[in-house]
This record gives sequence, structure tokens and C-alpha cells, in this order.
Amino acid sequence: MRKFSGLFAQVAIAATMACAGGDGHGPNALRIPLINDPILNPVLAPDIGSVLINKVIFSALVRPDEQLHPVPDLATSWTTSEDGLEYTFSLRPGVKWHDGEPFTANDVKFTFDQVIDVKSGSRLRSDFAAVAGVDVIDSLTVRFRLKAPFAPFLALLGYNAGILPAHKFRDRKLTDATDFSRSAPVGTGPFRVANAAAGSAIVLERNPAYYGPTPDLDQLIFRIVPDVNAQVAQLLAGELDIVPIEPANLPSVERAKSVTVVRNPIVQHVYVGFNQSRPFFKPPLVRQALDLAVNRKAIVDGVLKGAADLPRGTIPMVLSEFFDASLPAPGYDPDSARTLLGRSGWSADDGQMLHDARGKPFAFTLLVDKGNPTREQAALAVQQDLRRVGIDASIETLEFATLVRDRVLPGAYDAVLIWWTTPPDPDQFSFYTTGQDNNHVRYSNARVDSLLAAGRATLDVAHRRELYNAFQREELSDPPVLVLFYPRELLAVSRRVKGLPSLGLRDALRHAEQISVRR
Amino acid sequence: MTFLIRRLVHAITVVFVVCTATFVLVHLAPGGPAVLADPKLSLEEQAAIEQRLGLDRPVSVQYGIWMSRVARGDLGESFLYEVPNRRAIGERLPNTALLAGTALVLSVLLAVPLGLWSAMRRGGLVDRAVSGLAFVAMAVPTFWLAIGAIFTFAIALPLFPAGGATTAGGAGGWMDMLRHLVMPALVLAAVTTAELLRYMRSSAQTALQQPFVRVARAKGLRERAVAWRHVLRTALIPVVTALGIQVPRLVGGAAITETVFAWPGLGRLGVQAALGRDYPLVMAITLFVSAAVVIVNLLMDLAYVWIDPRIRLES
Amino acid sequence: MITRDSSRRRAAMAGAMIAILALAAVVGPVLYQTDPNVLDLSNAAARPGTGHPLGTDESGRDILGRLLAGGRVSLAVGFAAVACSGVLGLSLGALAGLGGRRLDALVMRFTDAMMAIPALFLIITTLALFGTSVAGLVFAIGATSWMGLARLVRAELLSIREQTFVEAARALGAQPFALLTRHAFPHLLPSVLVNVTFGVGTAILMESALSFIGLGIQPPSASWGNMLTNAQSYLYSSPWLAVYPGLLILITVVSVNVLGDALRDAAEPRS
Repeated sequence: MRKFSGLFAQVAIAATMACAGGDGHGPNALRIPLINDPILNPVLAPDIGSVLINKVIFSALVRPDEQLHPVPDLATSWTTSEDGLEYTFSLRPGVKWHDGEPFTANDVKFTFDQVIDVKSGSRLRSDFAAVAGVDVIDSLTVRFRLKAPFAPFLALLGYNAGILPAHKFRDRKLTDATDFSRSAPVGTGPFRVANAAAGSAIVLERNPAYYGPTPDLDQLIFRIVPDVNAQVAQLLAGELDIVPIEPANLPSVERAKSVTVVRNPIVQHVYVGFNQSRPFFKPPLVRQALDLAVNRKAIVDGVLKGAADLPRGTIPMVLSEFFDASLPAPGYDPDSARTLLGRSGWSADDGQMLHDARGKPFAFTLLVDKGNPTREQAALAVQQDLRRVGIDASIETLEFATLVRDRVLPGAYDAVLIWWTTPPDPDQFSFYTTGQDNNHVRYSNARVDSLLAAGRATLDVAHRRELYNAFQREELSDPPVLVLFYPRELLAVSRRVKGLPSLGLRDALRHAEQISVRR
Repeated sequence: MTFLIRRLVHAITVVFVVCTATFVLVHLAPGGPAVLADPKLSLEEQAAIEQRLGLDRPVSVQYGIWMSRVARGDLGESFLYEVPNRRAIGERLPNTALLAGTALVLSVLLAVPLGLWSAMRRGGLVDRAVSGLAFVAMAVPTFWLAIGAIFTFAIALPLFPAGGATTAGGAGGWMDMLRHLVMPALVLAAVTTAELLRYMRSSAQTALQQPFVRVARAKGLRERAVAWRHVLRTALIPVVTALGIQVPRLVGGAAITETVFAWPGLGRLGVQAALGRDYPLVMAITLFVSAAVVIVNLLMDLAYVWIDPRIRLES
Repeated sequence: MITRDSSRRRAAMAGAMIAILALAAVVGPVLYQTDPNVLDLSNAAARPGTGHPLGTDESGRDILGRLLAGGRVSLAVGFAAVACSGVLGLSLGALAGLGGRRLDALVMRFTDAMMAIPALFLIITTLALFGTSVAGLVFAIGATSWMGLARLVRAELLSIREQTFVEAARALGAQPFALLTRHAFPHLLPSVLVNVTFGVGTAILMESALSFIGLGIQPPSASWGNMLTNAQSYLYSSPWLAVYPGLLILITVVSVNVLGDALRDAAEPRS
């Protein structure tokens, strides 16, 4: 009888414990949501979710500090040759991979050989197009040879280029190593994979052999939650700790006492790109007029609830070293806009809609990607503002994949509301230089071409600053795109989280060993 | 025996048609897979990806490859996840089976007795309340019900977890999974229960009105028991039919419930694959689910024959 | 007790509800002049007040206007999709029921295959691949819900074919096709009507599910489905944004189902 009641008591206790509350207070773990199963290979990772988790598992040669400058990570020091064509890195000794093997220069060479190989499935190739090759000098020294001087090189090394272990890929391609990419990757980061349940969660545990300070957290858990509202719900229920949110979620989150909202500037500019191979948009005067016609402040306050900064050109403000804050922010002046449009040959009749001398109306289609309420609302606001100056813009929402592949890349569009997220470097050569692959707005300005080319090749910071400030000034009179705002990343963070760096999440996670939670 | 063989051939033909139909559908569509939708890709990189995924080959060749793969049991490899589809499906299948299975069992357990009671006491309080609730349950969009449930029972009243199948990083165990299963299973079961209830009610009504029931009642207890068993059998036939229709519905409905509750299932995988234009995965999942449905229907047909041997002769 | 009278009464009430909603949807946007598409970001999620009898939504647009415009769209999609599936179901069912053995088998295999694929899946795949326009939406929903009707029609036609009066008439030289049309279709009408009525509810719910996934009626056009979806983010701060469209969907679908139920009771004679 006693044995029976003892068993009963045990079951009862277990049942009570199981029923008692959610995961609210308790585990020494940080829980972050992802939308989809990640690919745990930084060279192959195609989406932001994979990038986030890979930043924790894999270290890179350098990483960005709170001012976004590259500081040593796997590399302890480096030298650059006079002509800027060679970078020699001294690697940190005594670093071990998660499986115990030693980290050497061979791993760096292997990783970058894969990165620049077009057949490997690498997603980083365009970032490192300037790299000619990598040589191993000795087991802890590696040299990169560049095709031309390339100022953004260090920033890019600390961006998404995690280092892969050569010994795990001895006889197979990156894309064939399914186990590695799905459940058992090997990196040198402060956390390693403990277990991965498909569609459910990837649980990372502390790496006791980490070369930096030992992480405080026992676990870092990435939960797969595909719906943003469900993520917010789990945050409010205490099951998640950090959730990137949209401005639309702010009212719900701000009321919760257990959660605080963090607004960090990120290296991104959101813009309306006008396709300048269409005759409407070719004259710089027209684009200046369009710049004046849109009420950015109303969009930032109304759509983004203040979570953005007003722009002054395409270089994000957060790159403060290269950003000329003395330049005026574009004003909202629909009357001047109309005047400028008038000078370009557009006049209005009593209907208030603009048309040219031959009666053709100023009408076009603005594309925006589907499913993001912030951008959709911004597009609607832009449409309304343009209507007020007599321009008839109609909106078409497309799924992002279709938008990019079928319309943007081949240049088959009038205008598109889109964004560029860039590494912490002001280089925008591939976006705004004549003829470049990423210059999908077909912008062409000879002075800008030379400024951006020089900016990319100049290693001296002071000189670079002058070049980019000149670029910023040139953009006032010949805007390549209509920059709407520099968004801030909105993170809803549980109050029990401590030590989170004030950076965008992807850069903050490079310092994962500093984060802790209050128990 | 011939019946069984005929049904088997029928099933295989259906699966073949599904196979071809999905391929045609997926390859007729304009645009391309999401893996190619990166504004930073150069033309050279695009071409390399297309070649690696086999997209540069003519459609007829791709069809041939697809069909021969299916015959061997190889369902291709996902674009988005870079895993063999069989593995991707295999990892999620138990979760959806658990969820849909629980929902099905719950709805049968709820619908059969309630339907019977409603039929016996027609117009009574239980009948009207249950009918009313059923109507409402069938008219509420699933995602609304799901998010409302989370809000009420996970946030406002912290009774159940807000999502996921297990407490990540926790010890796990079946008690943990059970807690996570309750809300999504109930939400998923809502519509199914309502529909089964109405079928059960009307078929039980018909069965109860048969003459032998009245006679049995008049005659006394023993005959009543015999009549009961017969009533149940007769009443259950349409319900079994209804069940067959519910299975594909459940898998489809599961997609939305799984998305909101972050349940790692097949339905959600299918939706994400479709949205990401992951052709191989879309085809693999559609084929797999349809094959499963066909098999379930086959089993249902066999169940019919067991319940009522007359049916075999009629077909 | 469920008598013919009570079922007629229920049908009448449900029918009236639907008529009111349809009327409001059609006539409403004409009578009520506030533009449902005008953004007013400084006045988002406002309570009922001047100019906005039901308040504003998350973008500052007038809710009442959007409910009316959205009702138009949601109901139109519901009815059009059902019409589409009705046409498909009738034609394919007729083909199977009236054609020869081979045609019957062919059509039925195809129908079985379509029934085996979960409807939501098929629609999502179709829409994700071909893009969403109102026409596409109507066709996608219609093309995935005709199977039940086709089976029904086929079964009825097959059973009628066997009946003696048809054989007699054929012996007398009457055209089989015309005969069947005159006798079969009136016989079919009740079941078809019931099926179609329920179909409207299903189509409306399907549209809202698709909006949730992002494949329904695209913004800035309003539909009850996408209004409900957009309101989900505001559930904790402005829950009433979800209540209006949700309630309307609920009322519409319940009315439609009650009507269908009553029609079915009326159509089947009770012993």
C-alpha cells in the first residue's frame, strides 16, 4: 500500500510540475524565433534566419564592435600591403573546433576557396568578388590576394563570412553535407549545437572550450515560429526572449510589463527606385521633384511609429564616420515639386493630374513586396502623396521572389519600393555605378561613378570620408533613388535579458557570450 | 478478392494522376523558385544555381526524371532546405499525424455520443445548444480561433503554452508534449466535430425511426440491446464516409493551425514550400499526402465491407 | 420537433439575413460616401467618432466603409466561386453520368485524384504559382470544390438512367438526351441547390484563410478576410478591429449554413 501511495505521490508531483505555468522564469537560456529551418552553413545560408544562427555557431576572422568597426575575432592582427592588394592575418592560437580538432589557416583557405567558387553554391561570392586567392603561409598565418584595392574587405570579413572546418568536407561538396547543414554543424563559436529538431527548434549549448570569455548562458535556443503574431504571443507568454517586430506590433508589445522595446539603427536604406530607363524618370529634375513630393516625416511617424531616421542620401546615418550630418534632410514641399515638374514639361489641367505636352498622363505602377504591412502602408502613403502633386501611381503587390526575379533584376518595372541591407561599410559601388549588376534602377552619373570607384579603392579613412561626403552632396541634385527612411530594427526584448549589445540583432549575436538572463 | 484488387488498381491510377497533375501545375507557373530571388545575385550566379538544381533542362526531361524518381521512392531534393524530400517529410510526418490523429479521435469521441443524444431527444436543450455551437464552429475562420485561443488560454490565463510541440531545451517527455497538443488539437477538431456531429445526428435519426426499433422497444430489454447495436452500425456508415472526406480537410486545416501554433508539421511545410516555390518539395508533399489519403480511403472501403457486407455486392 | 413549418421558418430567416447582407454590400458603398481607401496615419485605430461611425483601422481608414466594400468583394468572391464550381461540377458530373463507361471511369479517376489532394494545398499551390487576382482567386476556389457536386450529379443521373420509364420512353423512340434533361435536371435541382448554398460559406471561409497566408484579396482592396488578418497584429491593443469583420463572416456563413440545412430538410421528405 505504501509503495503504491508513494508512486501516486510521485506521479502527482510530476503532473503538478508539468502543469505549473509556462517556461516563464527559469531556464538559463535565451530563446529567439526563426521563421524557417535554417541552413547551418554560413557560405550557403540564403536567408536572414540562417544568418542569425550561424553568427553564433561560427566565428569569423573579425567581428564588428559597437561602433561597427572590425575588431579581432579568429584573427588577432593583420597587416595590409602598400598597394592594398594583400592582407596578411595572424590567427589566434589554441582555438578548437566544436569537435575538438584544432583550427588552422587551412580552414580559412578552404572556406574562401569555396566562397569564390561559383559552383559551390556559395551565397557570398558577390561580396568577395575582389578576392583573387588565399594562401596558407603557416598554420597560423594566412594571406589574401585581391584583384584590386578593396576598402570594404575587412568589414565584409566580419559580416557573414563564418569560417568552415576543412576536415568535415574532405571528400564531399558543401551542398551534399546534409547532416552538417541540418543538425550537426561544427564551428568555433561560443555555442555549439546540442540538438536540432526539424521544424521545431535548434538548441545550442555553451561551448566550454570557447577561446573568448566563457558564455554565461547554458543554452541559446532558436525556435521555429513561422508567424510573426505567434512569435509575439509566445514572447508575451514568456516562451521567447527576443523577437524582431514590425511597427504594427508596437501597441500590443508596449503594454506588456515583462517586455521592453529596443530600437537600434541598422545599416539599411529603404527607398523607392525609379527605373531610369523609362523616359519619365530620366531627368534629374523630375527625381528632385519626386523627392520633394513625398512626406517622409508622416510616413516615419505614422507607418513606422517613429522607428526610423529621416534620410539624407543613400548612405545610412549609422555609418557616422562617413555620413555628413550637416546636409539638410529633404523637405516636404509639394508646391516646389509641382514647379519642378512643370519645368520638366509636365502640366496639370483642372483635373489636377499631370500630363505632358502630348497629353500623356504621368502614370506608372509602383511595385512592393507582399506580406509586409509596413512597406505596403508606406507604398500607399507614397501613392497618396504623389496623387497630391498630380502623379497617378497605382500599386501592385507581388511576392518577393517574383518581384525580384521577374521584375527588378531584368529591369521590367516602373518603380519599386525596396531596400538594401549592406555590411557596415559605405561602399555602394555595385548599386549606383553605371552598368553594374545591382544597379537595377539604371542610374548613370559620371561624377558618381568616379566617386564610388575611388571610395571603394581608397583605404585611407579620411580620404574615403571626403569622397562619400561628395557623393552624398551629388545625390541632392541627382538622386539615384528616393530614399524614404533609414529603418531602425525593432526588437521586443524580455526584461530578463541582460548584456545585449546595442546593435542590430545580427551583429549583437556576434557577441553572444556577453548575453545573460536574470533567473 | 476481386473487389480488393479493383480498388488497389483504382488507387494506383489516382496516385499516378496526382503525380502528373502536380508536375504540370508546378511547371506551368511563371516565375521561379525563391532561392533565385536575391537582388544581389549576378547573372553568372543565377545560371550556376539553375544548373545545380536541374532547372535548365527541358520540361519533358524533368518530367521523366520526376516520374522515374517516384517509381524508385525517391521524392527529390528541396531547393530551400537542401535536404532529400523524403527526409524533410519523414521528420514532420509524425507531428502532423499526432495532431491530425488526435483531432480526429477527439471529434469522433465528441460527435458520436452528442449526435446520438441529439437524435434521441430531438428539439431538447442539448440538441439545440449543440446544434447552435456546431453552426458557429463551422463558421469561424480557423486562424482566428487559433489566435483567439492563444490569447485567452496562454496569455490572459497562462494555462497552456503558446506554441511549439515541446518546451525547447527542456527535458521533454510525453506530459510536456500533451500540454502543447491540447489547444491545437481542439482548434483543429472544432470544424470536424461540428460536421461529424450533423452527420451523426441525421443518420442516427434515420436509424432510430426504423420499424424494428419501435418493435424492439415494445418487446423489452434484450431486444433493445440488439436493436442498439444495429442502430449504431447503421448510423455509423455515413459517418465513416464523412470521415473519409475529413482526412484531406484535416491535413489542409492543419496547415493553418500548425502555422499559428508553430507546430512542426507537414501542412505548414507544404504552405512554406508553395510560397517559396520549392518545386520538388511541393510536388513531394502533394504526392505524399494524396497517396496517404488514397490509402486511408482504401482502408475505409474495407471497413465498409466489414460493417455491411451488402455493399460489396452492390459495387 | 423539426417540422416542415419550422424548417421553412428557419430558411426564411437565414435567407433574409443573407439578403440584407447582400443588399448592404451592393447598395452600401453607393449610399455611404466615405472613401474606404484613404489613409490617415495620424488617426489609426481610432474609436468611433466624427466621420467614422465605427472608428478607423490600423492605417486610419474608415472601418464602416471598408466593411461595406469588403463585403462586396467577399460575397462576390463567394458567389462567383460557387458558380464556377457549380458549372464545373454539373458538366463533369453530367459527362460521367450520361457518357459511356469509359468516359465515366476517366472522369471519376480524375475526380478522385482531385479529392485526394487537400483543397487548401491545391489552392495555395495554384495561387502561389500563378499569382493572385480576383479572377484567379475565384477560379482557384471554384476549381477545387466541384468534386462533391460532380459525384452527386453523376450518381443521380446513373440511377435515373436505370429507371423503367426511361427505358420505356427510349423504346418508344424518344431522344434519350432530351428526356434526361427534362426529367433529370429538375430532380437534381434540390441537391445542387443545397450543395451550392453550403459552397458559398466554404468559399468565404477559404478566402479568409488565404488572406491569412497572404494569398487572398490583395491590399489596398478590402475584403473581410484580409481585414481580419490585418487585425491580428492588433489583437492585444485594439481587439475590436478583429471583431467587426470576424462577426460579419460568422453571421454570413452561419446564415448560409442554416439556409442550406433548411433547404436540405425541405428537400428530403420525412416519413
